[in-house]
This record gives sequence, C-alpha cells and structure tokens, in this order.
Amino acid sequence: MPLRRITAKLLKTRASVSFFRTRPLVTQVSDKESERHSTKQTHFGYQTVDEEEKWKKVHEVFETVAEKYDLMNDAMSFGIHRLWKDIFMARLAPTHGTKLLDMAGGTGDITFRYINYLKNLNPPPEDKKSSVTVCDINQAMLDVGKVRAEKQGYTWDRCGVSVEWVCGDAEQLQLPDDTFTAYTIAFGIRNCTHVDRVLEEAYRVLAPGGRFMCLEFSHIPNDALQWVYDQYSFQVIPVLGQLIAGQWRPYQYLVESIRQFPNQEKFKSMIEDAGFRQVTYENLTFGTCAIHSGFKI
Amino acid sequence: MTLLQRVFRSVRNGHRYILPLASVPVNKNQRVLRNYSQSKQDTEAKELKSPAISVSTEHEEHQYEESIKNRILLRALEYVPKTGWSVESLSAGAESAGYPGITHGLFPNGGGDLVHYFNVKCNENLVEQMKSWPKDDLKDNKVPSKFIENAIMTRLLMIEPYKSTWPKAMAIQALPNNVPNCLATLLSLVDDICYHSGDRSVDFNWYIRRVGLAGIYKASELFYLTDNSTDFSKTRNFVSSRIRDAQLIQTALNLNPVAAAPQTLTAAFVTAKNMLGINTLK
Repeated sequence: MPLRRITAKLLKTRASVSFFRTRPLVTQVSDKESERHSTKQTHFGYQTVDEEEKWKKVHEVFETVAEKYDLMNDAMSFGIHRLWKDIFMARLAPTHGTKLLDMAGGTGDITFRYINYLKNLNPPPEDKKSSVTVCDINQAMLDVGKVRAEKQGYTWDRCGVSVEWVCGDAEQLQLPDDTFTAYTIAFGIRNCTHVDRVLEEAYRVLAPGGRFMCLEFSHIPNDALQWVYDQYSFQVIPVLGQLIAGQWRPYQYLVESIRQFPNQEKFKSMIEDAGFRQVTYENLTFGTCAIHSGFKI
Repeated sequence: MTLLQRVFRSVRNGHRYILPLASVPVNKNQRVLRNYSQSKQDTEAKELKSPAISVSTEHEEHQYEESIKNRILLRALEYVPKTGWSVESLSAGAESAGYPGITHGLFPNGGGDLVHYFNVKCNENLVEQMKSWPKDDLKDNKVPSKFIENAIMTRLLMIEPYKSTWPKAMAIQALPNNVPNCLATLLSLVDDICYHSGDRSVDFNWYIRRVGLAGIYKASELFYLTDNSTDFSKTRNFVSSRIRDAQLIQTALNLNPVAAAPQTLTAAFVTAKNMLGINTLK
C-alpha cells in the first residue's frame, strides 16, 4: 500500500517537475516585479511569498526533516557533505582560545568538527579556554544536536571546550557586540529571509580580527556540469526525500532555494557590503558549494 | 539596481568601446546596452568623477589591510625561532598584535606567507644598505666582485636569527604553491644587487648576470646552513670563489672567436686523438 502511494505521488509530481524546469525565467521576472511593487515579498524556492510566510515555511521544513536531516544529507550528497565540512573546518583552522558562534548549526556537524580540530592541536595553555555557541532558529534541530553531543561525548567535562546551545534568529541575535572570534554558518544562510541583516548581525557580534566563514551551495560556472547537476537536483533529490524522509516538498524547496541564492561573486560583494574585509571564496566540487570568508578588521 | 547604475557598471567594464547602436551582449550575463547620445554623455561625465573617488578609497582600503597584515607578520617573526614558519607563529603574532589567534586566516598560505614576508623585508633592507655603500670600485669597467660578495654576505647574515629553522623555510619555499612568490623575491634580490652594482646592460647579458647571480646566491645559502666557522669565513670564501668562477665563464664567453681559434683547434685535435686512442698507444 505505501509503495503504491509513493508511485502515485511520483506520477503526480512528474508533471510538476517538468513544469519547474521552465519555471525559473518566469519567476525571476515576477520576482523583479514584486520587488518594485512591494518590499514585503520574498521567495520561498520558486514561489513568491510574504516574508512572514517564508519564515514560517522554512521553520516547518526543518521541523519536519530534523529527524532524518543527517541521513538525507548523506544520501543526497553521497556523503560528500562530510568532506565539505571537513575542508570548511580546515580552512577556519581554529586555535585555542577561539570563541565560535556556530550559526544554524543545529545538529552539531560543524561544532563537533571544531572540537575535534582543537583536540588534535597541542594541549591548550591554562589561560586559553575555547568555547562554542551553537545557535539555531529551530529547537527541533538543536534537540537532535544535543542528543548527539551527549552520545558522542562532546561535553565540557569530556572535551574541555564549553558548548552552549541557544535558540535564536540569525537576523536578530540576542548576543552582545564583539563577543566571538569566529562565526560560521554552514548551509544556513540560504534559508534566511534577509541575508544582508544576517551579515550585519555577524559583523556586530564578531570581535575585531574575527572571521566570518560561510559554507553554502553555490553556482557551477560550467554549463554542461550545471545541466547534469540540475537533472540530479530536480529529478532525483525530491524522490530521495520522499523515499527516505517521506517528504517531497522540503526537498523540492531545498533545490529551488539553491538556485535562488546569489552566486559566488554576488554573495562576496554582499559580504563586503556588510563591512567585512579580505573577502575571498573557494569553490568545492566544481562550485556546487562555496566557502566564503571575511574578516572584521 | 537602477538602470543608470547598470549602464555605469557596464561602461566601467569596458563597454564604452562598443558602439552604442551596435551594442551586443558580450557574455550572456551582461544585459544588452542601448546608449543613445543624451544619456551616454551623461554617464561619461559622471564616470569621469566616480572612478577617481573609488580608486582612491580602494587604494586606502588596500593600504589599511596591508598595514594590519604587516603588523601581524612582523610580530609573528618573533615567534619563529620557537614555533617555526608555521600557523602557530602567525596566530601568536596576531595575538600579540591585539587580534584573536584565529586571524591567522588572513594568510591562507600559512608559513609560506610568513617566509615571503621575511624575504621581501630583507630585500628591502638590503637595498637600503646598498644605497649607502661606496661606489668607488664600480667606476672601472671590471666586475664589481667585492660589491657583489658583500651584498650576498649581508643578505645571508640576515637569516642568522632564524638559521635553525631556515632549512624548513627553504622546504616551504619549494612547495608548488609558494614557488612563484619565492622566484619573484629571488629575482628582485638579484636584480637589486645587479642594479646597485652598476649593471645597466640592455642586451642578453642582463639575463646571464641575473640567472648566474641567483645560482650563486642559492648555492651560498645552502653552504651557509652548514657553516659553523667563526665569522662565517668559509661562506665568504665560498661566495668569492663562486664569483670567480662566474667571471671565468664570462671571459670565456667574451673571447674573440678568431683569437681563440688556435686554442680551439688544438683542443679539438687532442679530443680527436683521445677518441681514436692514439694517446694511449704509447
């Protein structure tokens, strides 16, 4: 019975998938128009929705997928997302005494890598205490992360790095100015309604000399590869979502939101506009992902 | 983005060379530009003003960033004898310059950037010193071997405080991503030495002198690493004998072919005899 339901769903959505292939051009125009008419509209995937609504929808998406989030990441990226995150942490190269704000780090992937990286350095001097604050807008994701941290031993008494879990919005952080020396956001900034506000908040909470690092899906500068990637994204990923997590829409949203996110150069200039200096980016896997880095100096 | 801004950006990107009426999208990301006389003059006039402003601020930005970087690198050098040409030194340097340790990320090449900074600093230092050296012996037409020897020795002795970690630095410089920087600093070093020792050649000798001097410098650097003699007299001897070798080669190259003909013939004759085994028959 469930199998039949899935096939029925697959058949039904065939039409919508091919529909989406022609959609981008149309929505881009309507996006521009809506920008002109009212500023309260934003995009949720390829849909144009109210800003308020986007917030709710993103919230829903992650509420529903929290449990299967990590499994889906593995399935969709063939496990490569682990390498991306490893490279991300290697580029950050934290030192003892770093105060990290791991934004949108709900399930702890970045946090655990950070703690492991510090563990592999020389033993820390007495006066240098490292800390990490995991902040996520979604309590469901944080709960998954907390359980994992307990299970895998990433706690203060076992690793010497203080870990704090905070539920908060990246656009309006309830944290004082100049408190952190590093700010990371991995696969999170895409889901925020106002990317510029997120960047401004990041600039505010970072101490002088602090580093902003962002790992996010980006654009492939090669048409042939882009075609392959599009086929995979639109034909395979929602199906995987349906089969593994039992959810089609969230993964449809995922691939659409990736297309909507600004490309490497555009995002770089957005980071510069927020006040960061020495902004650079590095493409991973032909540009599927990009690591952006900037400094508050 | 308003239309004006868009036009602006494309004009700055070099589209002004495309005739307004025949405007074509150069790549698909650029929108088609349609400039008509009125608006075109408008943008041209504005364009004259704005780049000047943006260039100067960009320059200041760059200066600001560079000054912070240099401050961190300078502090980092103090930690090199202890922690080597490494990220640890950089982050210790950042901390002593008043930034968090993680600011070492400003230098994506890690130790390579630190070595590069050190080389550049030493080269600048050497140029300053060379300017004040006596130029008397440069007036004659002969090779200023004493001047060059002094220059090389002065530059080598700048490595002295970091001698124990310098082999590592040489290894870092040989890593593929650091090679361009390393060659650039080496070339600027030998170029400075040649220039200040009075070389004004514009012929092929220009290359020969620089490549030759680079070879001498690098060989001396290797020799210097294992030299324990007092006052580095052995390194000094080594440098002067390498310079003598170079002079010999140069005289050989500059020999007039006609004058050298008898010698060349004799040499060829002897070689031929050797090959035929006539010399060993007796």
